[in-house]
Amino acid sequence: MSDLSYDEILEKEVREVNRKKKMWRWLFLSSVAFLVSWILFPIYLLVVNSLSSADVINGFPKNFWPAFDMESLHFFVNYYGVLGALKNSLIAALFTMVIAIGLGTPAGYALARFDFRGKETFRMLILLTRAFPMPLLALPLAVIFINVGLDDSLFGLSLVHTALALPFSVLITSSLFLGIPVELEEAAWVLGCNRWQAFMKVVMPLALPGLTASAVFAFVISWNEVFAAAVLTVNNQTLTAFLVQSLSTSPVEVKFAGGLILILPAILFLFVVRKYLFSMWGIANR
Amino acid sequence: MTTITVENIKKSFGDADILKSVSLDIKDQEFTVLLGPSGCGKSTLLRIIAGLETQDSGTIKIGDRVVSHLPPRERNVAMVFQNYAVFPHMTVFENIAFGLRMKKAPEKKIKENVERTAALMHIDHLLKRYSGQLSGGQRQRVAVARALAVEPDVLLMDEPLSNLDALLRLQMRAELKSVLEASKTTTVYVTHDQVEAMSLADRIAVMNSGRIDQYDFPDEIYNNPATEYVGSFIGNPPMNFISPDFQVGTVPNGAFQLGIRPEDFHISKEQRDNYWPITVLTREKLGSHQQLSAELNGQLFRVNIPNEIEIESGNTLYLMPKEDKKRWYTEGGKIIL
Repeated sequence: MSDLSYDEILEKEVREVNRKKKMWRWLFLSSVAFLVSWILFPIYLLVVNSLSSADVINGFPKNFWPAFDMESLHFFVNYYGVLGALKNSLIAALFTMVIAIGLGTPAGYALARFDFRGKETFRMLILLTRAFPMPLLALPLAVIFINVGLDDSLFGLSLVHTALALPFSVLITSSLFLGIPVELEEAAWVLGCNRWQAFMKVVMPLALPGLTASAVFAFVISWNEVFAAAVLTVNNQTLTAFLVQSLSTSPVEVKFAGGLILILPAILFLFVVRKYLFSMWGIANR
Repeated sequence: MTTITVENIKKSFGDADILKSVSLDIKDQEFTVLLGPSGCGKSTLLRIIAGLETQDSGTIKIGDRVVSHLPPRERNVAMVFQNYAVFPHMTVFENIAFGLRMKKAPEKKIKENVERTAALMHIDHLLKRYSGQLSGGQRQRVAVARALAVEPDVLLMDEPLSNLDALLRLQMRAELKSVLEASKTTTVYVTHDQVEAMSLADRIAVMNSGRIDQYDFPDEIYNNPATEYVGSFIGNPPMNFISPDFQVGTVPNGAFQLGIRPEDFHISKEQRDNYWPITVLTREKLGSHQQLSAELNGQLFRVNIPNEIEIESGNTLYLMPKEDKKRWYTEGGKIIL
């Protein structure tokens, strides 16, 4: 065989490989585009529609470009009860955040640093708390809350939300602490710290960004929760509970405005903490 | 600057007996190396001296003070870790100052000590950096400076050089030796590297699955290994152990094996009285000398010979162990003195 024909064969193979590579790349990119639009397109529609006037929303053809008409948003914010519900949502979420971090951090530290009997069972039990659907728990909880006088209180509600958020706080903080080498703590002990001082001077500063992320996560879980809020609060309704009850009877443009205001904190949160979430889930993003 | 007394320390994790009644007497200003393969308990012993682990039984004394049940912070020890454990959120200065700040030393003394130890470890130009901006060798220096800055009674080092690359390790080893000699601090140093142990130690404690087989000066460890284990752990290649079922001169009572170092043979190319005929299996040229793997009556052993002797694989060579270098071991592996 001559050199020329050998070259030709080689070239053909290279072309074939390139073609396959291109095909896979195209497939990969189109699936990424599909998945991204799966999430983003509804959000985009929500934004466009809540920034459009009622006539545009109900008219045809549909508008795909925001008109920056603030009327629906304005109406929604001034709607009676919205601001109070917003305040209640904030308070319940802050309570939840504080309790979930206050309880979750020590539990996460214990899971990361100590070997104790039943550690794996404990880890399983933490996850199991998420196995019971809220509709199943809400009614008995309401009865109990009425009996102990916690009914229709934001504190009672945030206790329920803490139960929802706690598994995440515990598991997230424990993986945070696992990521901090125990030698750093030991070095601090040898250099004169007791356990508490070593935790505050060495572990805490290193875990702080992650702890913040897990705190915001607890906040958002409470902010987004509808069912328990709707069942357990009557006069002190949170925003979600309020919306569930009043939006069903509202015109469509107000529904859009309410929806936008509801998802905004979650989206902001994801932008703020995505770095920590990624590192927590082992995705390198640097 | 003090002594360390380790008395009958026992420790087990679950079913595994990590330390089986270990005792050590470390003199003031002495540099003791705990040497052994991984899993022999050397790191556990060091961590028990530091107070990071608690012994099941036994006593640790630093000076005259029984510290067995004191937490690490009350033992006035300093420790250098294998992975350096430099605090990533503090500058080099704050790292070195950490121990002194915990002891509430006056600011002036902190500054003095930090600058002195940093200069000693040649990192005085890095004081404002964070550990992320340092190389492995520089982090190691910070860790040593941080330990020395608190002026501890006892300095504990857990394989401090094993994460450095080979060349840097040699350089740091020499530097550590001079720094620690000058600081006059009683030091316990853990390593699995026999060369490191031989070059640094005043005395070496060779550990073998939870016991100390021999605690002695490096020359003694090399020349008179107390057990077969020590002989085969120290030396590269290790000591040869040969059953005396052929002519080796007088054999003492109870002797089971002859221990002889590869360099301790009379060598001849011709047959002589009392010389063993050996078959050369392989020859390796090592620059300063050649190393032979050889065989006699089915027993394999190693011999170091000078470069001048020309020999090929398959040839026969005649050897006689030097009389004053012969060491005899019992069936249990103990030396017969």
